[in-house]
Amino acid sequence: MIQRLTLTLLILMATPVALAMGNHGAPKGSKDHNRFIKELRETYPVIALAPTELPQELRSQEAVDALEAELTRKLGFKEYTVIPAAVYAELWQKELEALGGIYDPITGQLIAENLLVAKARVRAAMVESHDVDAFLETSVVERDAAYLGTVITYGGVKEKAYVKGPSWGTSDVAMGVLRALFLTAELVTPEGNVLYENAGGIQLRFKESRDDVVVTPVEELLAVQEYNRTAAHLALRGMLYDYRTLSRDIRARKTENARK
Amino acid sequence: MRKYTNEICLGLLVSLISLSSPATAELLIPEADFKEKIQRIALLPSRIQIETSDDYAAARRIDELVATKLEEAGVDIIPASEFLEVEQATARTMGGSYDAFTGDRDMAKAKTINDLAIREFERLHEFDAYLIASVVTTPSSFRGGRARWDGIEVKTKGSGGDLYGSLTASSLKISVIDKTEADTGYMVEQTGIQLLLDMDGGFWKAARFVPVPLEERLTDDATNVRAVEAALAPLIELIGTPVTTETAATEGASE
Repeated sequence: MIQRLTLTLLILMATPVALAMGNHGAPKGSKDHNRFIKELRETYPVIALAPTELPQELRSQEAVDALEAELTRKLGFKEYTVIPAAVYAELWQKELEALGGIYDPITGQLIAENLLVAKARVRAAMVESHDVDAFLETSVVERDAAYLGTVITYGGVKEKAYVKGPSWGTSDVAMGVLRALFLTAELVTPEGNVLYENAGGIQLRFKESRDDVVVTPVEELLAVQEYNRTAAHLALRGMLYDYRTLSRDIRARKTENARK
Repeated sequence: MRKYTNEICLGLLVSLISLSSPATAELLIPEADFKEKIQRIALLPSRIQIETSDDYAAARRIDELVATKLEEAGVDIIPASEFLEVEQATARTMGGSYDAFTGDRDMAKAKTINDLAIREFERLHEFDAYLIASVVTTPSSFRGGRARWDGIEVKTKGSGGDLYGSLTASSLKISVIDKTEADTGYMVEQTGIQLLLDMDGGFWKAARFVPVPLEERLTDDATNVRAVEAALAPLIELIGTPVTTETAATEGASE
């Protein structure tokens, strides 16, 4: 009986952990959320995509295309005017050439000053040429993903996982953290103020294994375009859907994304 | 930022390899041979295989602490700054190995630069072995509000009640390797530095994992000094100049 009570307590305590790993930019209350969605669409109708950034070893044009196509489709569906990432990329390249780059070629260190100048100039040029109201900056990053027992939840994705990373629990239930790839999305004004930020889960950095932590081979990462598209949807849903649709969508996605 | 993302993945791979690393000093050749063979050690620049807010600054700080500690102990060393100077001069003549636009590293070019730098460094200096300090990721076990790994024990943010499990931590790995054959190791020692993933809460407050902010990693001098001293202790015991009681008493009196 005591053991069962401990298990129940553990599960109750574990739930907020899994939720704490999520990331949402939009307000929580239904009225506030709906007002946020409405105001965002009215105030920032023209959104420019910045090219999606990927870690060096994960570069894949196919994945970038899938991600950006889905971002464009989602925004277009909600009647935003979308300026493709190629426009931003062209101006970005010109600025980098003018500045001589944003990284020190000897040490690899980021030259923060050059980065700020390049971003400010590109944004100003795009406001001038395309009447852009906001910029959507996206990147693929690796972050913690919490698991409870054999279910791992990350960025709106829920799937089965047997592996154990950092964990706590009893012999009945294990709770812990692994690593997963996420698509992060940040909507910023031309001045650099963040309007919305969120992250959608792409896939685990580990393959399933009962005994060992096994790294997912690089060639398998970002290779499933359906995962990439889902991540784009999950990253943007908080700025596109009203509270009611969002609630329905979360439920639907939870089932859809139970990858077994 | 992209640079750091690359390093995270590299760090992750290395961390998984490091799971099998020894937790205590391991002398890979007989003690007498070590003492006879190794008189002067060249320090290579530290490798930071965890994510920090400034890897370059963290590496230089570790370089400095390692060099200071060994010099204080009377070990004959060539500081990492000497190798760094040669390496950066070589990189400059070759235009560097990083893409100025993307921060990507051309690994083939980096290897060429490294090989040339080693050749030039060995032409300029006489020494017997290299020492590499690496900051690696490692698992730590926790129970009763305390986490333990690689010879250290620290308090977690929360007591965790009677929960137990594992967290992620960082350790300082010191490797002394052969001058000509990098695969030949003479000594490996690994000492815990700090947690990377802490745990908060317990029975009455929901337990949760708390990542240690990047700005708080490898930035606390006292923590770094302790780790460097512990990791270098076996090496110093072998080839350092022992401080005599008389010397210690004189130093104590003059302070």
